Amino acid sequence: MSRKIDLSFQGSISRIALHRIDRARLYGSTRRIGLDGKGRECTSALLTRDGKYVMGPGSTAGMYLNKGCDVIAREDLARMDEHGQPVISNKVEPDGPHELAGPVPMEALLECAVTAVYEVDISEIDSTLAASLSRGDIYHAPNRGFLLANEYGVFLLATERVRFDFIGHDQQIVIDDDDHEYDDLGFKSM
Amino acid sequence: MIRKVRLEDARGRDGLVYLSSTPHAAGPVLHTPDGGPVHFERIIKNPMDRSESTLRRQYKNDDSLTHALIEGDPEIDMEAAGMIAGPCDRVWVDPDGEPLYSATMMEIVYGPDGGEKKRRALRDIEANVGEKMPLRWTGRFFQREEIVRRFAITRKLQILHTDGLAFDFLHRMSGLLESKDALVSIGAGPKWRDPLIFERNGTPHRAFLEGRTKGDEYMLILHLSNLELKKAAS
Repeated sequence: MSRKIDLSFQGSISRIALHRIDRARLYGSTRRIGLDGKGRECTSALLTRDGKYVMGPGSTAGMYLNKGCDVIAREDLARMDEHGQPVISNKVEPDGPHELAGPVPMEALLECAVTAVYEVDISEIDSTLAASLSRGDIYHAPNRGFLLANEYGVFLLATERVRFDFIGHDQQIVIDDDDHEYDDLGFKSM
Repeated sequence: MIRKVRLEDARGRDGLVYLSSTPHAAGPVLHTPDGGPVHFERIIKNPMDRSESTLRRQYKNDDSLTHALIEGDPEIDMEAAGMIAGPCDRVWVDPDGEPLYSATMMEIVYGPDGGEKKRRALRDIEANVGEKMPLRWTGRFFQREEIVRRFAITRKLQILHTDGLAFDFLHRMSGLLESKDALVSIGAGPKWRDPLIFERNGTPHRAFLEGRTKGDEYMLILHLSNLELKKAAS
């Protein structure tokens, strides 16, 4: 089921449905299974270290506990920064439509990493905006991402900004053994 | 994260360089409403021997199961429910609920429509990025316009020098790419055309190298994409 958002462009509001595109929908996917000696498909489960309990899907729940091991509900948790100051989420959805800014240079998009791709039905877009997109213009909706078109259609790209610095000869390269970043690249292979 | 890799330039000369991602800002720390510390734990709800499927196997029919549920609490393990699971091992469990000592691994391949296409024996796909596996220029250049409209750049890594010679090597490379005002496609593998796989069985990524210079400084960014901007078939 698709989600709908309102985009505002030059006073006109387009209500568009967002259909997420991922690798599975474009290229297919793979799933690993284990078979027992009789060729029957098995279930992945967790075994406690004492060997006492086997827990299948849905047999456990992740919870936050306080010092006294009482459960704290997620909605009651306080978010604080490293200095102990409360953190207020800046990803609050605006009440009204998302105002499109632009056209923006393509470098603005190239300086970001795409976190999600949505296809947009061009028939739902205001005709002036659709014409501008088809000419190659790119628009930016703060908190939403970039709207652009290619020969396949119109896409909304959710992004996050990635900033790199120029490197000089004397730049000290700090080697950190923490390799967890590569975990993010470890999706299931095709 | 930082990792050493071997990179070749347009002339096929290689050098050892660092691949680095941008440091992530530390996320917010969670506390109790009064500012006390919290810790995350996996809590046992119900072990598999109390699951519905196990109970259905234990009782001959629905009536006997219903009767047992009314009379007692066979679905609840009073000792385990609510216990902190602690560190666990992942195991395979057969349809009878018994853990296996070993399982035969298979891979199911699904098409874009979600339908099963085939089953095959599991095969590992090795990483092709490392100190002994050079990344090479494919010789194919892309304008920024084309990159932005054709690919979803899902990740970016910066290439950094490991020593003074590598600095000159990378600065020249950046200057060349800047003069071409284009990004070059980077390939891996024996034929230089393979997408980059950073770890065993990882997602293959197409890579595009962008270079810029500012006086004696350089910036080399490897743009990685695992998704084209296309409409899904269904």
